[in-house]
Amino acid sequence: MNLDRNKVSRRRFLGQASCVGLGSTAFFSSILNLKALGSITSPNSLVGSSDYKALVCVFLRGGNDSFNMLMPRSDSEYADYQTSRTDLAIAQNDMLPLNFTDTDGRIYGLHPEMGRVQSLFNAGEIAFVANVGTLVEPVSKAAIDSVGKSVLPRNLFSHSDQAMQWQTSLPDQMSRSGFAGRLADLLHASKNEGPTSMNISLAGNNVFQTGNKTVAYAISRNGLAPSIKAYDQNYHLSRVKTEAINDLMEATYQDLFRDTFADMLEESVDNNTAFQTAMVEAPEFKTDFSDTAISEQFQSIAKVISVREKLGMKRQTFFVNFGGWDHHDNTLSRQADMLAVLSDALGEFNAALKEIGMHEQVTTFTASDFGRTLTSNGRGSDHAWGGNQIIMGGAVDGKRIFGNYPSLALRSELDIGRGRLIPTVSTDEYFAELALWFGANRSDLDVLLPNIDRFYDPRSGISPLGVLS
Amino acid sequence: MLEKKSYVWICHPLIAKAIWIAVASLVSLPASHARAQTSDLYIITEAESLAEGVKYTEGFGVFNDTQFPWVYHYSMGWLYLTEGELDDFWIFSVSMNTWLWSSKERFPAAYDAANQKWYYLYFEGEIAWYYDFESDTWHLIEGVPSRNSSDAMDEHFESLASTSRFLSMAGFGAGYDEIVSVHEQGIHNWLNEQLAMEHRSIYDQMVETYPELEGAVSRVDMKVFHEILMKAMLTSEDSLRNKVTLALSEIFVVSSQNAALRDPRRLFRYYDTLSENAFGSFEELLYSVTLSPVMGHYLSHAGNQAADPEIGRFPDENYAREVMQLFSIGLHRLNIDGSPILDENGQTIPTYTNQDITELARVFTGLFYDHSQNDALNNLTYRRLVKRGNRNFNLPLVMYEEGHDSGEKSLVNGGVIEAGTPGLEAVRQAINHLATHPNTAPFISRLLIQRLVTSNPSPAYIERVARVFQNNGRGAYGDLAAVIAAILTDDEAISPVNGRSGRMRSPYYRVIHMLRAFNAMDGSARYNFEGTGRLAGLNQQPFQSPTVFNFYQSDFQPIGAIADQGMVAPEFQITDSRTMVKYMNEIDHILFYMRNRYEKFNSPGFVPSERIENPNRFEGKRSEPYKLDLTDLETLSENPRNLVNRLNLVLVHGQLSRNTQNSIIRALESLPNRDSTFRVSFAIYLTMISPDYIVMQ
Repeated sequence: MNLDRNKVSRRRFLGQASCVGLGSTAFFSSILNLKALGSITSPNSLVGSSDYKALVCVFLRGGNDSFNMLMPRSDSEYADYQTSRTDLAIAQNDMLPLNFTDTDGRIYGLHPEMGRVQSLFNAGEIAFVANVGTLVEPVSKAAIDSVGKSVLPRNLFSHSDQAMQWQTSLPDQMSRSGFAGRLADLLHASKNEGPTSMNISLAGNNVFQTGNKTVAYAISRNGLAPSIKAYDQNYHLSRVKTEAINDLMEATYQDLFRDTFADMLEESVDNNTAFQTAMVEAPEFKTDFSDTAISEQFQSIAKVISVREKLGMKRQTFFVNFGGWDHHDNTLSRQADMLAVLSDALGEFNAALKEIGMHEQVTTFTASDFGRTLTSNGRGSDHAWGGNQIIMGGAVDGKRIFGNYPSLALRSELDIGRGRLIPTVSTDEYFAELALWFGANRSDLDVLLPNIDRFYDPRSGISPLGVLS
Repeated sequence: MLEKKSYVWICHPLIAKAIWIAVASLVSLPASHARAQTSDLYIITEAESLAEGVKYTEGFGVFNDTQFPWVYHYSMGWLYLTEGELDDFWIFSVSMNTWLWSSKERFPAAYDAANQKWYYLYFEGEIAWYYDFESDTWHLIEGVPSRNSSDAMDEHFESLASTSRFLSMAGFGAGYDEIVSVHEQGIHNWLNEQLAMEHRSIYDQMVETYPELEGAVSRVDMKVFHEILMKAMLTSEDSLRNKVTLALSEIFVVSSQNAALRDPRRLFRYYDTLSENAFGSFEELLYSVTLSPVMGHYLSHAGNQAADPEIGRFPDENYAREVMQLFSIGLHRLNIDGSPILDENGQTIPTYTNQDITELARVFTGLFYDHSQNDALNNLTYRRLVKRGNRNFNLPLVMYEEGHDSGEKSLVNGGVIEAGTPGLEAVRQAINHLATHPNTAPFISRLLIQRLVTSNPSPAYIERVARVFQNNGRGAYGDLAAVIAAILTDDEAISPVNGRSGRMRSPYYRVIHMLRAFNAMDGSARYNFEGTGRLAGLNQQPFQSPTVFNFYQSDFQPIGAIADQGMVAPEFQITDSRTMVKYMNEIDHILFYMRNRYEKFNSPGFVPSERIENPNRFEGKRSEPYKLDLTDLETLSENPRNLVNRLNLVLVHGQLSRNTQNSIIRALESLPNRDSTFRVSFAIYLTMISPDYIVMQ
C-alpha cells in the first residue's frame, strides 16, 4: 500500500465522509508518522479463510407476487387462496410439494417453475420467511382504522418508497443509509483490510449498501472492474495520460459537485486496480451457470468470494438487482418465466459455493418492494404490503417456513383491503437475524436497526427468527 | 504535485495595506450560503474587520472568511485553513495545489510537506510570490483573478461563453460557429424563434427515411430508433423542442425495457405525443400522455376493467398512482416555492391516500386501444377485446363505455366526478383536477429546472417559474412555452451562484454534446452511427429507463458533503465506480477507435464485410463508423493554449479552471510525436473527462 499524501490530503479537507472522527491535526500527524515509518503492515496478515462471512441480497425489484411463489397446499387453506386469487390462482396439483408441515399440520407448495428451490428446500438448504414487510411498529387493522397514517410506513404501496424502505428498514423516516451500509460502517474497519468497500454492488449505487461513511463499490455484471483505457501502463503515451488524469482527480475545484466527483473517481481508480489484481486469481467453476443476467451475477459473486483473501476481506455484502416483477398484467406467465430464472440461478450459486467450500459462510436472501394484492385486477395484481422471502445457505436451518404463514382469506385480520396483508415479520427482525449471524453484537442492533426494539428485545438472548445458526 | 514556474520574478517587498483594501472592494464573494465557523486561530481571532466579510490580520494580510474554513486571500487566492495542535496551522493553497504548514511566529515562512521544502511568501496587492529556499528562486503564485487584465478580448470570451452555456441548457450544446451565430442573434431572439417553430413529427421523419417501414409486420430494430434520434439531436433546427421533449421523457417515463415498446415506431409515436405538447398546455400534455397507447401499455391502464366484486376483480391501480406521484402532484403538499407544507408536528402532509388511488383507478376503467378501423375486432365486447389483447399503437386509446365504471368517484382535494359522466369526460375532469392542483405548478417546475438548469434551484427560483406556470401573464394556466422561457431566462439560470448551482451533466448527453459541437458525421451522412447501442452502457439512453422512476430520482443525495449541505444531485445516482470509467472509455472509443474505423471504412477500395440480415427484423441501412470534424481545432493546435481556450469555450463554457487548463497543456506538451488530429483528440478527451466539464455551473 502506498500512501500518496496529496491524495489523502485532498480527501481530508473535502471529506467529512471519508474520515469521520479524526481531528485534523491528529490525521496529519498520523500521515506524517506513517511516512516516517516508511512502511505499513501488509494486508494479508490478519485475514484467514476461517472467519469469513458474506450476505447476498437479491432484490426482486417491482414487487414479487410472492403469495404465488409460496402457497398453502392444505385443502382448507388452498380453498381460501383460490377464492381470493380467482384467475391468478395456481392449481393445487401443479404446486411443487414441500416436505414441511407446520405446527398446525398445514402443508405448503411452491410455484411449479421453482424445481431447484424445491430440491434445496427439501435438502435443508433453503428456508422461507413468511409475510415479511416494512413496519413502523407492530400494528393491527383496528389500530390502522383508529390511529391512521402515523402507524403506517410513509407512502405505503409506492414502488420507490417501499423499495427504499425495505433497504433502509426505516419506514417512518427519510434515511440515506441502508441496512448493509450501516453494517459496513460498523464492521468494515475492524474486519477488513483491503482497499475496496465491504459492500459490493452489481447494480450500481443503491441505498441498501450506503452507510453514513460507506459507499458500495460497483462492479460489472461479469465481475470485472472496468479500467480506464491506457491508464497506468508502462509506455510514454500512457504515462502522459495517467499523469493528466491524476492531476484532474487530485486537484480541488471549489465546487461541491466537482470535488465530490473528483473524489469518487479517484477512489474508484484505486479500488479498480486492487480489485482487478485480485480477480485474476479467481478459478473457473465446474458449476454450469445459465445464460441469464442473474446467473451471470451470481457467478461473479462466487468469483469475488473465491479471492476474498487477496482482497483482504473477512466480511462482504453483495447486492443484486433483479427487476421486472411489477406484474399488473400477464402475471401468471411473466412471473412463471422469472421465477424459473431465479430458481435456477439460486441453485447454481449454491452449487458454486459448495465447490469452493464457502457454502456455510455465505447467506443469500431475497427482498422485494412489497407483496401484491391477493385479488386480481382481471389480468394481474397490484401493489400491496407483506410478502414471502427466501433464505439460502449452509448456515440456514432449512426445510422450514419461519414466521406465521398468514391466512389468505379476504377480510381476514391482516387484510386491509383487496388482500393487502399487514406484515407479521418486520424487515427489522429479518435483518437483525442476518446481522447477528454476520457478526454484529446484540448491543449494536439499535444502531444498525434503530426501530428494532419495537419488535424484538436484543437483550432477550433468543434469536429474532431462528433461521440462522 | 507542485508546479514549478518557468519564470522567475524579482520581488519588491512592499506590502501596502491600502492597496489591498482597494482590491478587496473589487472582489465580491457570494455570502448566501455562508456558514462561517468559529476558530481559535489567531488569523481569525485577531482579525480587524475592514468591510462586510473583509478582514485584515497583521502579518497574514487581507482576506474574506465568510466561508471559513475556506478563506479567500486577496493575494494568494483560495485557501483552506486548519488549526494545528499548538499555535501552528495548515493552509491548503488552491493556486499552489499544496498544503503548507506554518505558525504565527513563522509566517510568512511556510513548509510544503509534500515537497519537503521551506518557502517564504510575499504579497503585493493582488499578486503573491513565494521564495523557494532550496533552489533560491522566486515564483509567482498564479490563480488570483486579475482585474486589470480583463481587456476587451476577455469580455468577448465571457460573452461567448455565456451563450455557449445557454445552448447547453436550452439544447444539446453547440459548435463554435453556432455559438457565434446565436451570440450575434441574441439568446432572447433565438429563444423566441425556437418557441415559435412548427412542430415536426419525428415519426414522419422516420417514415421519410424508411418508407417501407410503415407497413412492415416484422419487428423493427432499435438501430432505426438510434439513427433517427441521433439525427434529430445533432442536426435539427428545433433543438429546444427536442431538448424539452427529452426532458419530459424523464418525467413522463415509458421505457423500451418493456419488450413490447422495443420498437422505434411505438417510441416515436410517444415522442411525438410529448413533442407536440412540449410548448403547449400542461393539461393537454397530461391528457395526451394518459391516452397514449404507449403509456397505456407501459402503465397497464389500457384494458383496465371496472370492478366485479363477484369474481373478486378490482381496477388496476398502476396508472392512478403514478399519474399523481410522478406526473402531476407528487407525494407531499407543497408551497408555491416547492418547499413542503408541514403539519403542526413538523411532518410533511401526503397529497393523497390509498383510497384516492382506488377511486382514481375507477376513472381509468374502460380504456383500450382503438380498433374501430378493424372489422375483425370492432364488434367485440370490451371484455372480449381485453382478453384477446390486440394492440394498436398508432391511435390514442378510446373509451369503451360498457367497460367503464360510471358511478360517482371522488378525487383528491375534495373533487367529485358525478355518476353517469361519460368515460372520456371523466378522464378529462380527473386530468383537469390534477393539472390545476396547487402542487402541480411547483412540482413540475422544479423537475423541469432540474433537467434543464440546476439540481438545486432556490425556492425563489422555483416560485418565479411556478407563478408563470399558474399564469403566463395573459391569464393562461400551464403554458409550457412560458414556463420554459421563464426557466431559461431567470437570473439564477443566466448567472450561476457559485458553489450551489452545479448540475452534473448526464452522461448520455455529454456524448451528444461532443458529437454536436464537432459535427460528427459518417461517410453516408445518415447519422446511422456504429455502436450507438453501446451508449446504453452510460445508463441513460433515452426511453430506456429501468423503471417509471427514471434513471435517477429528483431528490437523490450522494453521501458526503453534498448531502451534508442538504443538497440533491440526481445524476450522481447513476455515477459509480463502474459508470465513471465506462464514460471515460466511451469518449476514448469515439475519439480514437471510431475515427480509425471511419478512415478505414472510407478509404478507397474498402469493401465492408457482407452483412447478415435478420429476416425477422427491419434493420434499416447498415450503420457506419463516424468521426468528428476537427479541422478548425487542428489549425489552433499549434499553440496548446489556444486549443484549450477553444475547448473551454465550446465545451466548458469558460468554466475550465486554471489548474485544469494547465494540466491539459502540460499533457499536450509532453505527448510523444503525434499528428495534430491525435493531439486535438487527446485535448478533447481530457476536457470531456475533467470535473470542470462533468459538472456544469
